[in-house]
Amino acid sequence: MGLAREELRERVLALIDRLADGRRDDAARDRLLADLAHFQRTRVEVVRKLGGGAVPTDVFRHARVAGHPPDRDVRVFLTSGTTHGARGRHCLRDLSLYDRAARAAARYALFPDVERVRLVLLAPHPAEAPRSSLSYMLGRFEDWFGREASWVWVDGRLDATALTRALREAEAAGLPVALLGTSFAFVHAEDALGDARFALPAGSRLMQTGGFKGRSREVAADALRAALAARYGLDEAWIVAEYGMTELSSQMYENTLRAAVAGAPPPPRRLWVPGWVRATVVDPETLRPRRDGEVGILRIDDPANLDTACALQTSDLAIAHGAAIELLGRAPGATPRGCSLAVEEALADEP
Amino acid sequence: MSRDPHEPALRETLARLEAAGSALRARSPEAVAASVARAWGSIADPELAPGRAARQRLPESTGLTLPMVAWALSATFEGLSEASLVDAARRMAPPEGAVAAPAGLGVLVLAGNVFTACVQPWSLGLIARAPLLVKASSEDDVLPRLFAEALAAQDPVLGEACAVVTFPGGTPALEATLLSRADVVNAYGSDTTLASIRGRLSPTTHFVPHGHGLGVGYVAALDSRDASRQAAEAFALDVAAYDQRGCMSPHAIFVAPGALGGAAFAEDLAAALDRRAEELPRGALPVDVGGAQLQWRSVARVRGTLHEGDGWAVGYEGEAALRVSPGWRNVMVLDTPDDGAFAAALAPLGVHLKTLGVFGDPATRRALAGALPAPLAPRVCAAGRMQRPPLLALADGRLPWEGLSRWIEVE
Repeated sequence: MGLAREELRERVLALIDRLADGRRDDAARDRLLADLAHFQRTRVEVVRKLGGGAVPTDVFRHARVAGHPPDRDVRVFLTSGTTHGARGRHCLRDLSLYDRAARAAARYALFPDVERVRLVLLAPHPAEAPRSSLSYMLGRFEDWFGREASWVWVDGRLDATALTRALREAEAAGLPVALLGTSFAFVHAEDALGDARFALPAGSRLMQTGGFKGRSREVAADALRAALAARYGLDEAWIVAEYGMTELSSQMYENTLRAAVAGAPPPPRRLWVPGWVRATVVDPETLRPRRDGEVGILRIDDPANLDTACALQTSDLAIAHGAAIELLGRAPGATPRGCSLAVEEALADEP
Repeated sequence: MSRDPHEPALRETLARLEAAGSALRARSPEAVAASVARAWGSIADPELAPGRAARQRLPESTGLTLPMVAWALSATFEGLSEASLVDAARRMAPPEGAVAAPAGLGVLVLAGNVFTACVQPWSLGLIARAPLLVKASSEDDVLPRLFAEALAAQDPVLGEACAVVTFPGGTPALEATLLSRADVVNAYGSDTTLASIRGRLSPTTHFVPHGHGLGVGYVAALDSRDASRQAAEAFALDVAAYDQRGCMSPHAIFVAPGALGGAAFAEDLAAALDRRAEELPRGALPVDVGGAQLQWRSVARVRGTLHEGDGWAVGYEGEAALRVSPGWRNVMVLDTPDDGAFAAALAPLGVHLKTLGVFGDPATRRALAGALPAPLAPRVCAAGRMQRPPLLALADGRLPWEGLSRWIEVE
C-alpha cells in the first residue's frame, strides 16, 4: 500500500516542530527519510531513474524534479545560474513545509534571543525577485521576525544611501538590527560605503549567504567577516553564514551566534544542522559516508522537500565533525583540472 | 609591491640567462637540435637514469598512473628525434637573405595539467636559440627539472641557457621580476592567469597565450559495427590519455547519421574505455572532481543513457546540447543530424576548441575544417591522434615558434 502524501506531510511538520528547539532524534528522522525515499521513488521520475539515490543538484538544471504536474506548482524557485546557461528549478507544490523549516531553523540559530528585530536586507524584495528562494525566505523573515524592514538592494543594485540611513537610525535608536543578505551584496557595500563606520547596538547581527559567482570581486570568507565586523561594529561571533540552496527547503547556519547569545566561548565555526535534516559527507565515487574529519562532498537529506527530492547531492566539499559540518566550498582550481576548466562558461546550455 | 626574499636570486638567474645568450646564438640550430634530441632521449629511455627518474617521480607529481606516464612519455617522444628537430630548425629558418635575431630571453609559463606540454615550446625555443626561463607548475615541476639537468649534462652551453623556477601564483614581486625582462612570454594556463600575465607585460614583449581549451570528436557515417568499434578504439585512447585533463582531450564525440548511430557507438566506446582502463588505469580522482563527475554523470543518466565502469563513463544524450565534462575520462556521445548542425554546435566554443579529432578519411577532415565558423581554428586530426600532436603542430592556430625569433632583412 502506498504511503499517503498527507500523512507524510503531517509527519514532516511534526518532526520539525518537535526538533525546533535543537533536540535531535536521528532515529525518527531516518525513519521518516526512508519513508519519504520510498514515496519519492514511486512518484518522482528523476528519483526513480537515479535508482533512488540522492539527486545531484545539476539535475535540477536539466530535468523537472517533482512528483506533481506543473499545474500544481505554487512556486518555482530558480537558481541564480550565473556560471551556467541553464538555471535549476525547484518546483514547490506546498510552501507550508518550506515555511515551517525556514522559520524553525532561523529562530533557533539566527534569532534565538529576540522576538522581533529591525531588519536591513541586502537582497531583492520578493516582489522584485519572485523566483528567488532567498528573497522569498527573507520576505518571510520580515513577517516572522521583523520589527520593521529596509530593503536596500533595489533594481539590481545596492542603495548605499538607504543602507546608511537605516543603520544610522538603528544607532540613534539604540535598538539592535539584523543585516541579512548575500555575500556579494556585502562586498558591494564594502566598496560603496568608503570610510563609513557604524557602531550597531548590542544584539545586532549579520547573516550572509551564497558565493560571489562573478557578481562582485571574490573575498575570502575570513577576510570578509573581519571587514564586516570592523565596518558595522560587530563581534565576529555575531556574523554567521547561512547555507541554503534553491533546491532545499531547510537551511543550516553557523553556530557562533547562538553560542554568543548563551555567553559561551566561541566554538569552532561550523554549520549547525537542524535535527530534521541529515547532512552526510560522502566519498564522491563510492557515495559511502566519510569518517569524521575526512574531506568529501556534502549530501543533504531534507524531509521538507516532500514533493521534489528529499535526498540531494551537492558538489560542496565538506568535513563532518559529529553532527556539525565544516564547509570548504567547491575549491575551484585547487586541483589542476587543466585548461578546459572554465570552458563550460562559454557554452550556451539548454534552458 | 613588497619585495620577495627570493627576488634577488631570480634576478640573478635572469641575468645569467641573458649572458648565456651569446654562446647559444653562436651555435648552429642543427647543433642545438642534436643536443636537445639527446637530452630528451635520455628521458625517453627507461634504462637511463633520467628516464628512470621520470618514471619514478612523475606518477606522484602528476597524479597519473605509471602506465599512463609511460605511455605519455612514449607518445611524446615517438616523433622527436635529431632528424625531426633538425627539420624543425630548417622550417624555422629565415628566408634567404635574412638573418635570425633570436629573442634575448624567453619565458615559458607552464600549467600543471599535462606534464609533457613543455616539450614542444622548450625544444623550439632552444632551436630558435633563445635562452629560456621556465616557470613550472608548483604542483608538478618534475619533467622540466629533469630536462634542465639532462640538457646541462649533454651540453653545458644549452644548460647554461635554461633555468627552471617554481613558485605559487599570487607572488606578485616574483612574477613581476619574471616577466620584466622577457622578449617573449609563452604561457599556458587558465584565462584568468593569462589575462593577469598579459596585463603586466611591457608593450614590447611578445605574448603567446595558450588558454582554456578542449577537444571534440566527430565520427563520420558508420556503415558497420566494425567501423564503430574501430572509431571507439581510437577515441578511447584520446579520452584516456592524460586522464582527459588536457586541452586536446575530447569532451564530446558527435556521430553523423549512418547505419549505426550514437547509441551503438556509445556502447562500443564504453567497451573500448573499459579495455583501455585495464592497460592504462586512471589516476586517483580528486574529491572536487569527484563531485563534478557525480553531477555530470547523473544528468547523463536522467537525460539519456550512461555507461560507466572503473574510472570512466560514457553518456549518450541523443541530439542534446553539448555539456562539457569534468574530465577524468567522462565523455559525452551525441548524434548530429548534419555537418551544419555540427558546426553550429561547436560555434559557442570559439577559440577554446583546440582539437577536432575525426574518424573519417582525410577529405572529411578537410571538409569539416573548411566548414568551421570563425573564430574556430582547432587542430584537425585523425581519431586516436588527438593527444599526440606532431612536433611542429600549430599551437592555437599559430606557428609554434612564434615570437621566439625575429628576422633581420639585409638589403
